[in-house]
Amino acid sequence: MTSLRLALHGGVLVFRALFEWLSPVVFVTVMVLTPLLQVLFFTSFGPAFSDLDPSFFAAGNALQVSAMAGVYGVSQTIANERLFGAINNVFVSPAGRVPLYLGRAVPHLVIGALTSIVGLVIAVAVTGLSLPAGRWAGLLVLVLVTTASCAGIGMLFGALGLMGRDTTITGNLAYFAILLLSGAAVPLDRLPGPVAAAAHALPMTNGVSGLRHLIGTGPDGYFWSRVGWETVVGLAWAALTVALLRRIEQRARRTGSLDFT
Amino acid sequence: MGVVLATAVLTVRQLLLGKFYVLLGVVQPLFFLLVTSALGSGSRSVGAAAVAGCAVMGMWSVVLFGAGRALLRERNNGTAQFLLVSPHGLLRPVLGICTGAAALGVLPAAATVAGGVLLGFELDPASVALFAVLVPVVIAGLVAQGLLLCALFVLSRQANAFSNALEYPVWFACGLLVPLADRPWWAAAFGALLTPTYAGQAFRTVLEGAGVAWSSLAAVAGLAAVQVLLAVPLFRLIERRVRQKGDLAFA
Repeated sequence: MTSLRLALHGGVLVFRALFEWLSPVVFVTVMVLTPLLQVLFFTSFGPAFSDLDPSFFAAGNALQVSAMAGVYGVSQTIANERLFGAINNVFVSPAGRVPLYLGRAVPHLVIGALTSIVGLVIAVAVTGLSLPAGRWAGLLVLVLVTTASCAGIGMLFGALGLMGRDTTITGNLAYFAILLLSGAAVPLDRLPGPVAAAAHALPMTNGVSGLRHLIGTGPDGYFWSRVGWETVVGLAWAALTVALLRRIEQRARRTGSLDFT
Repeated sequence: MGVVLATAVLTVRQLLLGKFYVLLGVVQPLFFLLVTSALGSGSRSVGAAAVAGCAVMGMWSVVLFGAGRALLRERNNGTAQFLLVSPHGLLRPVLGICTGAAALGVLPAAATVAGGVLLGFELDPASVALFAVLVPVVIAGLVAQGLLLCALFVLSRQANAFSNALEYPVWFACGLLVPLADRPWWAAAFGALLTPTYAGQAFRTVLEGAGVAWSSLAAVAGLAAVQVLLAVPLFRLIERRVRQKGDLAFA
């Protein structure tokens, strides 16, 4: 119960204190409006350079935009701990590290999932994408799992941001990489074979594959296997991140310094 | 002119130190070029549209954030007051800053051409050479666009707040990587007021091997003149407001 409270309550407090876009207008334009505009842009851009239907790009991008909060938002939240001088308090705290760090991703998980849901509504409205009501429960699970998976890698970039100086660049690069390699904007079979294979180790890829299957067929065994693999990928990145954060903390204690550059 | 040139050079050096502008000017356009390459064929018309669109996308992003946010950046750095009390006035140094920021448009232009060649798009060398000649002309037009954006972002808090969301809508309205015919009338009308629309047309025409689109270049020049005429009184207004209020809130 304490761990749950630490994760949820602590995550909300950190979000409010450290997420640097305190202006609601700026927050909405960057974290919500821009991703939705991305969905609309790709609906025209994609078909202009391919023989694919606009709904292909709309659906893929609608799911992928959760990475804005999951990757970029989470990485900024964790990396800003050092920028705002809060990281030393974290390191001396006796609190459990797993709920402490995972809780930082919770608010972004909610925002990313909501953005994706709105994006999918837009995709249905603009492209005529068919999503029967009976598939929305599975869709919701997929969106949550995929956003959480992105948050796993977002935490990694946040941890790297504790060591480096600039997370904006790495967060944006990760966002572009996920958009390119996940199948959201480019079908996986149009990527080089090794690249497409490696892409399954990234967040979003299994999620996009699951989404396309859900749209075409419905929530069957293959769909739930994609959800399962997306969960595994997210947990793997999160576990790697928690291990890295522990190493960073140990190094900080050993050297007595928070400057790792 | 010395002030303009000096601030332009300083701005280029400052902005290049921040990897963010390299991301905007190189990585983002190359990403979209990669997507177009992966999606479609490498024919001349596709290559021309892709390279032209991605180059202007990058140029717009650099101008939007590099020039549009110039005064706000100076205020955050603690140097805005020095610009305001300078005997040169506000306009000349800001013109220099906008020139420096727009000059970074060379990055997306070069990166997208190089990327197009590497990705196997059909690009005629003579067309590429002519494209290179057009780049400074378009950059000059974007300086004026940046100047006007800078004034608007300073005078209106709402405009500044929404500047973060001005990439995709402008790319769409200006027909960058989207067919011009796909735009609804209101997007086309909005795009007609923006330099990237005509820059994209000029670049696309030359890269398709159809020569120089003089009408598009004339539109770039005409828009630049209008934008400068609009920007000059706005900067005088900014100076007057700052002196009257005695603070750097600008708006």
